[in-house]
Amino acid sequence: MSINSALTMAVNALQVNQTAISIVENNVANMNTEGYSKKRVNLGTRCIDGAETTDVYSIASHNAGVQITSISRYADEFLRSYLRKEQSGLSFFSTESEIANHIVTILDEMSGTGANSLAISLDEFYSAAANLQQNPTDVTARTDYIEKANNFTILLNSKYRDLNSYRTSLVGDGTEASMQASKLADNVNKANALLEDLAVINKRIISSGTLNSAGNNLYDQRDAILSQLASQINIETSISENGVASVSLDGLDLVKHTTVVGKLTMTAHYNTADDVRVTIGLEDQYGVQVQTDINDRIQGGSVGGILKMGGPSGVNLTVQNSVDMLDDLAAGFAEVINGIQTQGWIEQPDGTYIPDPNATEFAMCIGKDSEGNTILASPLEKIFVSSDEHSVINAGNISVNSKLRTNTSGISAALVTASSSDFTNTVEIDGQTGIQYTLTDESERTLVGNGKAMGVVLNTRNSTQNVRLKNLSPEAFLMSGISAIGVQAESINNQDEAQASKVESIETQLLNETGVDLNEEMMDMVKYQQAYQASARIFNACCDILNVLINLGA
Amino acid sequence: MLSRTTSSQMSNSLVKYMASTQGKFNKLSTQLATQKKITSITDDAVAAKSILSAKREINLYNGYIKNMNNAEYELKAVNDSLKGAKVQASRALDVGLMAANGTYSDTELNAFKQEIDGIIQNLTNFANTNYAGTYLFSGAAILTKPYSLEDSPAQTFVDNGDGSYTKSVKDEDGNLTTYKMVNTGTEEAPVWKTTVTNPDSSTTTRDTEPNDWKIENSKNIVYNGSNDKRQVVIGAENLEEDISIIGSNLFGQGTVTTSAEFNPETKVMTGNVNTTGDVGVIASLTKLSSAIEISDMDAMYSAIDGIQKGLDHIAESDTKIGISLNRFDTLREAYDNNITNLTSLKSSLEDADLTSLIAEWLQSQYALEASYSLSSQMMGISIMNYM
Repeated sequence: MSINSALTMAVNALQVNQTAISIVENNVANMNTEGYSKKRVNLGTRCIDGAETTDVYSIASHNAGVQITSISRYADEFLRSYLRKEQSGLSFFSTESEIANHIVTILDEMSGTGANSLAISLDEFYSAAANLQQNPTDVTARTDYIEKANNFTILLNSKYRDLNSYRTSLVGDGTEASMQASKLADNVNKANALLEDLAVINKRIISSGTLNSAGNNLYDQRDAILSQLASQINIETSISENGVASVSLDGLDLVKHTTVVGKLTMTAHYNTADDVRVTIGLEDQYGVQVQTDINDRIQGGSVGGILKMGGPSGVNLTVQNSVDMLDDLAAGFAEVINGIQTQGWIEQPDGTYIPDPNATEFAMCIGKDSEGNTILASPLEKIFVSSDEHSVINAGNISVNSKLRTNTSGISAALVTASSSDFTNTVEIDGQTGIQYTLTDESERTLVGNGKAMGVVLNTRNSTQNVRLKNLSPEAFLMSGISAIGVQAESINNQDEAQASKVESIETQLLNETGVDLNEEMMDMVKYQQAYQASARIFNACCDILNVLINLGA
Repeated sequence: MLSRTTSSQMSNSLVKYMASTQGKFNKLSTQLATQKKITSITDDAVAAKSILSAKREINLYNGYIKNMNNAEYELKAVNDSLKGAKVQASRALDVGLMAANGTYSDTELNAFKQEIDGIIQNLTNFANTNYAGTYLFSGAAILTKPYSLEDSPAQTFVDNGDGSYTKSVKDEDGNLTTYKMVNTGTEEAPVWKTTVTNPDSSTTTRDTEPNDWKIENSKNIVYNGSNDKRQVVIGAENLEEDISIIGSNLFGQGTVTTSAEFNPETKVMTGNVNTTGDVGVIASLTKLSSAIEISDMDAMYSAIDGIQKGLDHIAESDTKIGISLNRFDTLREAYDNNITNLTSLKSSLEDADLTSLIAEWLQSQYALEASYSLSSQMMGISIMNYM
C-alpha cells in the first residue's frame, strides 16, 4: 500500500466521519421536531478493484478505507400505519366529544338556576299553577302563571336557537353560503389541501434519492401529511418501494403516485325530508364528479365526527337529536296545557270556540257580565301558540299567547261538569272580545273559585296521555331526554379517553423506535469525533512521512 | 431487542403526565370551589340522572307542602270563624233555654229577643267571612257573599201605650203602609176604627177589619254560595283535599214564617212560627226570635233543637277541618322525611366531601409540584454532564 493510498484513505475517513457528525448534529437539532425520525449513517468498507479476495494482504492493499453505504431512517411502517388508523379514530371521537360536551353545556341542567334550567323553569310554572288553583280570581296569581309559562318558552327558544346555530356552525343550514362558512368546510378544505401536498411530496420523493438526508426528510414530511390527513378522514395508505404514498378512502382512490385522483366535494341540501344538510362527494383530477355521496364511508377523522354529530337524528347522539327532544317537549307540553285550557270546547275555523256536544267537562276562564259580576266564561285563546300563530309548535317558535299576557282573565282555571246545552252565548263578557259562552244557570256561572283546571294541570306532573311526551310528565320527559344525552355524551367521552390512551401508547412505542435519544447521539458523536481525530492523525503521519521522503530526496 | 427510550418520548411522557396531573388538580379545584363532585351531566351520567330525579321529586314534594301551607292558612281562618260562630250559637242556646222556661217577664223576653237578633247578625257575619278576597263559606263561588237575610213581607205590630195599636206593612219595594187601630167607643163597648196611611201619605179611616189585628212575617235565610267545593292537590295520583266548607251545610238556609193575631180584649198576641227548607242554625235562631216575640213555646223548643243541631254541625265541620289539618301535618311530615332522604341521596351523589376533597386536592398539588421538579431533574440528566 502506497503512502498516497494511505493519505487518500485518511482524507476519505475524515470526510465520512464529518458527514456522520453532521447527521448526529441534525438528529440532535431535530430531537424535538414532531414527526422527525432519527437518521443513522451506515458505514461500509470502501472497495476498489481487486478487493474481492480472501487474501488479507490483498484486501488491505486494495481496500481504500471507509465509505457511507447509506443514510437510513429509523422507521416502522406497520406501526406508523397503525398509528394513523388510530389517530383517525381519536380525531373522530375527539370531535364527537367536543360537540357532545357543547350540547350538554347548552342544555345545562346541572347548574341549578331558573335562568338556564328547563327543569327549574317547569317547576316554577307548576308552582304558579298551584297558586292559581287556590286563588283563581287573583290577578297576581294569573299573571304569575302566564309569566312563568312565558319564561319557560323563552328558555326553550334560547336553547333551541343555540343548538340550531351550533349545528349550522358545524354543517351549515342547508344553504351553500352557510355550508362554506361551516367547520365541516374548513376540515374538508384542509383534507383536500393535504391531498395536494401529498401529491407534491410524492413527486419530490421520486426525484430525490434516499441516500442523503434530504430524501429522508421528505419521508418525514410525507408521514406528517399522512398523519394530518388521517386526523381529517379515515384513510388507507400504501407505500411503494420508492417511498411514494398512495391514499384511498374506504377503497376509493384519493392520491395515486403523484396525482390527486379523488378530491372531496361538498353539496348543500336545503330542507330535505331526511334532514341531511351536506353530502360529501368525490371528483377526479379532471373535475368530474365520480361519487356524489360518500357520507356513509367517512367513518373517521374530524370530518367523520362532524358529519355524524351534525347529521340528522338517529339512534346515536347528534345535535339534531337534542333539538328534536326539545321540540317534543315544547309541542307535547303545549298540547297538554292547551288541551286543558280549551277542554270541552271545539275550535272553529275563525278561531272561536263552541261547546263540544260530547263533552262532560268544560274549561272556563273568567269575565264580567253586563252588571259587572265576575262570572265563568268560555276560553277564547290557547295558552301556547307558535310565534307566527299558524306554524306547528316547536321549541324554536313556542310562545305564550300575547292576548293572554295582556288579559290574564282568559286563563282557564276552572273546570265545570256540564253539557253543551248548559251554555248560552248571549252574555256579554267585559274586557274580552269574540263570542263567549257562559253557563245558563246564573248561580253556576258565579263559581269563579273553581280551580279544577289548575288541578288537572298539576296532575300532569305525574303523567300525561301525550304521545310527544311518551305519556310521561313534562318534567320526567325532560329528565329522561337530558339523561339519555348525558349517558351518550359520557360514553363518547369515555371512548375518546380510551382512544387517546391507545394512541398515546402507540405514539410512545413509535417514538421509542424512531425518535432521537440524546445520550445515544452523544455516544455516536464521541465515536465519530474520535474516529475523525484518529483519521486526522493518520493524515498527519502520512504527511510527515511524505515530508521525510521529500527531504531525503533533496 | 433492547428497548430504546428516546429523549422526545421521555419529554412527551413527562409533559403528558404534567398535563394529566394539572387536569386532575384543576378538576379538584373546581370541585372545591363549587363543593360539588358532579358539575356536568357527563361527569357521571347515571349519578346525574339520579340527581335530576331527586331534584324533581324534591320540587314536587315542596310544591305539595306549599299547597298545604296555603290551604292551612285558609282552613285556619275558617276554623277561627267557626270558633266565633260556636260561641255565639252556644250563647243563643242558653238564651233560648231561659226564654223557654216561662218565668221571665215580657221585658226580659224582649231583651232575649234583642240578644238573639244580635246573635243572628253576628252568625251571618261569620258566615260571610271574607279572607283575602275570598268568601270562605261560598264554596267555589268565592266572590259571592254567601248569606243574605230577607224579610218578606215585614210586618210589625206595636202597642202604642195610649190604647191604640199600629200595624206596619212594608212591601217588597220598601213602601210602608200603616194601620192605626183606635177605640172610638168605650172600654165596655169598644168601637174600633182603623186609619190607613198609604205610602203616598194619603189617609183613609174605616171600621177595623179582623185582618188588621193579624200579622204575617216571612224571613228568608238565603244562601247565595255554591255547593261546589274548592280543592287543592296535596299528593301524587290526584290526591286532593277540600279547602272549603260549604256554608249551607253549616249555617243552613230556609224560610221562617210567623203568623200571629192580636186580641184587643185580652191584649195578648198569639200565633205560631213555622220553618221550611233545610233550616240550620241561622233559621233556627230566627225562629227562636219570632217565637219569643209571640210566645210560641212549641216553636221555641223546636228552635232550641235546631240550634243544638247547628252546634253539632259546627262541631262536625270543626272536626273535619281538624282532620284536614292533621292530614296536612302527617303528609307534611312524610314529605319532609322524603325530602330529607332525597336531599341526602342528592348530596351523597352531588356534594363533595370537603375533608377528603381537600386531602385529595393537597395530594394532587404535591403530585403536580413533584412532577415539575421531577421533569426538571430528569430533563437535566444527560451523558453530556459526564463528558
